[in-house]
Amino acid sequence: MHGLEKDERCPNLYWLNIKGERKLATKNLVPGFKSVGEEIIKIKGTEYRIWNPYHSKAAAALYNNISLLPLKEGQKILYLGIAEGTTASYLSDIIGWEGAIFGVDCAYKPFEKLLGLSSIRKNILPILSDARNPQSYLSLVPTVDVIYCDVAQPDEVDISIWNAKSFLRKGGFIVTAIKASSIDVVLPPGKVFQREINKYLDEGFQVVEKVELNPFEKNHMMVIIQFK
Amino acid sequence: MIESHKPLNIVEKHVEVAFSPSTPIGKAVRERIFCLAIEHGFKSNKEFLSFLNEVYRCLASINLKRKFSEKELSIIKVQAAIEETEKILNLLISKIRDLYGVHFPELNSLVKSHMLYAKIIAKIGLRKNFSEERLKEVGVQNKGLSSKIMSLSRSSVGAEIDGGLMENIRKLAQSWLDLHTVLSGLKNKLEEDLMEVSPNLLRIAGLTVSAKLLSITGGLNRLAMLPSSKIQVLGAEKALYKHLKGKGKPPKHGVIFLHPLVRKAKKSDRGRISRVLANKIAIAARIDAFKGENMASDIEKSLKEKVSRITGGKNRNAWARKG
Ligand SMILES: C[S@@+](CC[C@H](N)C(=O)[O-])C[C@H]1O[C@@H](n2cnc3c(N)ncnc32)[C@H](O)[C@@H]1O
Repeated sequence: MHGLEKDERCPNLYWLNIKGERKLATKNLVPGFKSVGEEIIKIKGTEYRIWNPYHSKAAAALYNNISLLPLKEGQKILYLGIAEGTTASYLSDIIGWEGAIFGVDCAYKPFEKLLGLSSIRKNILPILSDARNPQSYLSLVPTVDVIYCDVAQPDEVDISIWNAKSFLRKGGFIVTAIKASSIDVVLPPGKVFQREINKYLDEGFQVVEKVELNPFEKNHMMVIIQFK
Repeated sequence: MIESHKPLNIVEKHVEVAFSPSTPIGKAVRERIFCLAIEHGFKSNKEFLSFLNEVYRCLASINLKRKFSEKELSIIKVQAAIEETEKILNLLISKIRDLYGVHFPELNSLVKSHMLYAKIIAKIGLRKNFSEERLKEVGVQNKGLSSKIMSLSRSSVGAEIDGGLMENIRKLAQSWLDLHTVLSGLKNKLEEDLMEVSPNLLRIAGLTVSAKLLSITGGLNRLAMLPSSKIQVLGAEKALYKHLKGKGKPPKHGVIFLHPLVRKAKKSDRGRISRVLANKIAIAARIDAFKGENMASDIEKSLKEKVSRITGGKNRNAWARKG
């Protein structure tokens, strides 16, 4: 049968052994609901959703042995660039019914799908806004424990810093997926990563961990930043 | 959490609070909102979340509608820019053909494609620089055409022109090519926006006709309200008024005449085809406006069947999607 092994880095996170292959999965918060293209395995009446590292950067970071993804049950997350909510749906499994994800995106196409998803996963709260303008959703987002930033924009790090100043609690974390090619196509990725990380350091944030996302995503780095 | 400055108003267990989110009290509330909700009557976090969820989805839907109409506006503006750009391109290429015709008049009728003509001038220039190899480089694939151009470039009756003038003509041709790239960019943008706003209409009417119909009516909702008999003559208002005043025949088709199905049909079939097409366009627009499902394949299939019944199956190749 499927070997089932708890991953202690996050709540509701598991490794399944499927035909000799280890696969990451989360315990389904809303059993019975399955999105398109999603693989669900049932073990002793419990549903586990396979979390594909090629579709989600958070999963890629977990595959690449990140030691800490600062997500706990009941946490409030501000998600910048939530898109259709692929990754967010797994984070929603992790934080459970006590937590909440405030999901910001400015594009209107993925947003229609996100509305569908959030009507099922009620801990996802959709906000159609520009993440460059945190003032526009100041009255919609409370103080949060984590900011997850995946907007794939050249000023991504700046965007996450502005949002941290308005929304992140002291001791909270920023998780940013830095995409080198959307910031600078000429400079080698290593240099781009360093320059972007320095922006956090200049603002007094602390770098907790960084992990490259090869081979799942080329020239991407996931950084965990703490707001002391 | 709404911005205003009403005083606290306590009703039974519920508290109505009004504050600005950036003030200290606003900040304090934003830090403790989930605790406050429980303290003031929500039974659980989950219950509060469900309540918030309804509110946020409602707000987002309203914003989505607003954004949607922005997209429609962008479609109308981009279409207008495309039409102007096309006019400029036509004007410019006819001047280029005119000028270069002094030097090599025979090329004008040999190369009908404006794109190829502009490339030949921008990349090769004077007749003496012509060679089969260079013609191939700029995209003359046809061997017969290539050798024809070569032989005429040797025997041309055109005059010699000086290098300065040639350089200016060459730059004009390059500008034409650059502007053409801009045009392609605009068209891509238009297609992207149409794909989001009205995928069914786009598939049935094609790029140009869709954009023109939206421009004339002022938006998808208005287009979707029109009967198909009106859609059939949209853009032919001039001819329609003439007819109503008793001069001339009633118009059979307006903007939709630009659709390849109508344009490439026999004259005697055009009226009936444009009626069928207008009918399907009306259906597509209504689905886009009121249902938002993609049913383009079904509509397209039934359109093709109806058209081939009219043409007796002879019009099959006229179907080209991008107009
Ligand atoms: C790489 S995708 C995110 C994928 C998603 N995080 C996931 O893993 O499922 C980037 C998203 O950021 C959004 N985005 C880009 N710029 C933005 C901005 N200024 N404000 C809000 N969202 C933005 C895009 O619309 C897009 O949906």
